[in-house]
Amino acid sequence: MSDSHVTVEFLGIVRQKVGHEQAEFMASRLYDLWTLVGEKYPQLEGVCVVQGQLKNGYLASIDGRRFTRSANEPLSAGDHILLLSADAGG
Amino acid sequence: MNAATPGYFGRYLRVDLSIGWSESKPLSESVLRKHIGGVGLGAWILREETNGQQLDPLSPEAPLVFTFSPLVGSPLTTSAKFAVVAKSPLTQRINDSLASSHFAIAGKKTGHDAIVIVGRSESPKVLLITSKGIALHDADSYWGMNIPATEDSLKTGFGSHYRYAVIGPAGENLVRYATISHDGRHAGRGGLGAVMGSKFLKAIGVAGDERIPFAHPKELVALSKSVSQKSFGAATEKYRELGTAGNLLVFNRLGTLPTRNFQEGQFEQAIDLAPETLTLSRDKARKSCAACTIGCEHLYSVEKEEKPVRLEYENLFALGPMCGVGDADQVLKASQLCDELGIDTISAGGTIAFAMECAERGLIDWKGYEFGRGDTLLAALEKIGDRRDEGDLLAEGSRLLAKQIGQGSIAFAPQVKGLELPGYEPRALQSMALGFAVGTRGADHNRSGAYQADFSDSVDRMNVTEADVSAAIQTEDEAAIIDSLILCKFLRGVFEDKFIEMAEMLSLVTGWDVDGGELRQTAQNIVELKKRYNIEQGWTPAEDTLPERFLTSALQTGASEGAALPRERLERLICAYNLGRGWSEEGYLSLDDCVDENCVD
Repeated sequence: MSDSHVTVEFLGIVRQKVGHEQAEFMASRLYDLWTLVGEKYPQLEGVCVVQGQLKNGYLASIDGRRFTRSANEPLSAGDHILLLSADAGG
Repeated sequence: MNAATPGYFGRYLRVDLSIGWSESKPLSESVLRKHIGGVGLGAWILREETNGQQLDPLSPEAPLVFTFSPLVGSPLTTSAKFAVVAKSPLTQRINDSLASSHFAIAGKKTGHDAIVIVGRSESPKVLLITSKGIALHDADSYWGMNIPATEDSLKTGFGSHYRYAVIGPAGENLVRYATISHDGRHAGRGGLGAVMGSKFLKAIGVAGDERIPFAHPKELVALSKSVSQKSFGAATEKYRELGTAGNLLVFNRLGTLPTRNFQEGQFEQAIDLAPETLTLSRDKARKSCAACTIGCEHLYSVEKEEKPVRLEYENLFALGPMCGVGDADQVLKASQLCDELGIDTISAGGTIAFAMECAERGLIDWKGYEFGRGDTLLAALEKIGDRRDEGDLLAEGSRLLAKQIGQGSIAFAPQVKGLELPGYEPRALQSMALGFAVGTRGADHNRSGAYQADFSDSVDRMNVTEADVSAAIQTEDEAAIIDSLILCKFLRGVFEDKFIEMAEMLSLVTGWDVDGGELRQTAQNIVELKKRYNIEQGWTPAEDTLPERFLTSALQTGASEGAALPRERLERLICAYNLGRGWSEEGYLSLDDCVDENCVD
């Protein structure tokens, strides 16, 4: 499986930690993406992601339409992956 | 006093304002164990006091029930809460509103597990309750005051050792979504402030010194420390860092932010209202409720050096995107005005947004009622508070306003059972849509947390099926216990198994040998008790639905574009929910409950 160019959008407290809205990555599945995210943003490693997996309490959305936590989720070119807190209580 | 049951006093105080009389009524251990406290105990007392009658909620006979819980006064974080339970003047169904403050602790220390108010004074009164009894004082000089002024004046007049629950002008003027306030917090939904106002009761002050015994105090302290420690962790980080308002940009991105009376799911000015933006340009403060270690309250200044305004997601959505208002100053001022007048922000925003849509469609000729008009929003809130001009109609809520306007407007009145929807777009969050439809107090995100399923990978939030309804039942059951214990729902993420851990808390407080299985059954019983009350008050299956708009049109924009909830799907979900609860397909608890001649077994 070849790597695809994808955009990660940081929302809520994840954006607070990162300090900006989005970043671009080349990855073929979420496992690789979260590994890269953890490397680029050490402040997220062990907090939101850990060794290529999402930590409990965090959630990914593919293009804002479908939530997933599966590290094996394949990625396609142009995907927007939203990374957010899973708690939506208001 | 029931000394055999630690955590309780085994009695409630019943005050009849018509004759200025109070008495203690016993609560058996069996009743307490089956209903715990808070919402569960309140529902039981309401039903007992109502005795099958269909009372006008604003009539003197209608009971207004304040309930505490066995955990109140314990060191468990977030446990300083009380419930107010009554028949809602907005929905004509059961309403249970919760609030956090020292009123809960002081009220329980009067030596009662609940306070029931019936009757009506001949003139405005303040009711003071201590361990020794009650006193009624004239409240003419307080009548008409807004909430902060009332609280300040009461402290001056009667002392700050009392903790006060008060109504504002909206409650006095019987606004059907008036709140009961205390320490800046509100028992907000369903208009229980109007019930209090109908009794000419401006305020209740409580001060007590009764000791609250706990069965296993050492173990309780140890557990409390552990829960507090967990409450500082990742599970509550969102609330500590951004507050509930942190939902705004997330919901906007997902296309689930109700905008312009649910015509859209995305608001182009959301960024201007988001806490991430407000933080950059305004003074900000953070507060906690009484006995809380989370500290989710985030306050923002309107003007420099002015008292900051508490901003929650629901205030923000209802007074901002829902009305198309993107000016942060106007939204903050609107929120402040609701706090001062004692108005539920969700119902106020929903009703005003509905009027704006009616005006834009030419169904009413109300000057200035256009989406985006923050000046109209602020003026409307003032008029609602004193029922002036069109405020008199707005004060009735969107369902009754739609009845007045007619012309098919009920199709887009944003309510279920009369209660305005909170800020979760039901077409794009369909587990929540089910929760809204079947909720005993109407469209509500606190008695059903089904949105938790929508915000997970366990369901397709835009195409929920009958196989998914267990999430709606599960979150409703969890809420029934959390609201009866009473704890803050923002703690839910710190539990590994909510029922088992909450059972441990209850056991340490009471000495009962409660396990998770018993609590699950108690949850079902409490949900059924509320349903049974509604059935006795005239509920029919036709009430368990959503407004026509949601069932006939799809979202047109944003990440949830195309999301639709056909009527047949919602009906299938409701049927599966009812059967999952062990009820009839229509939602009757048993065939005996059905008074509809078309009812089938």
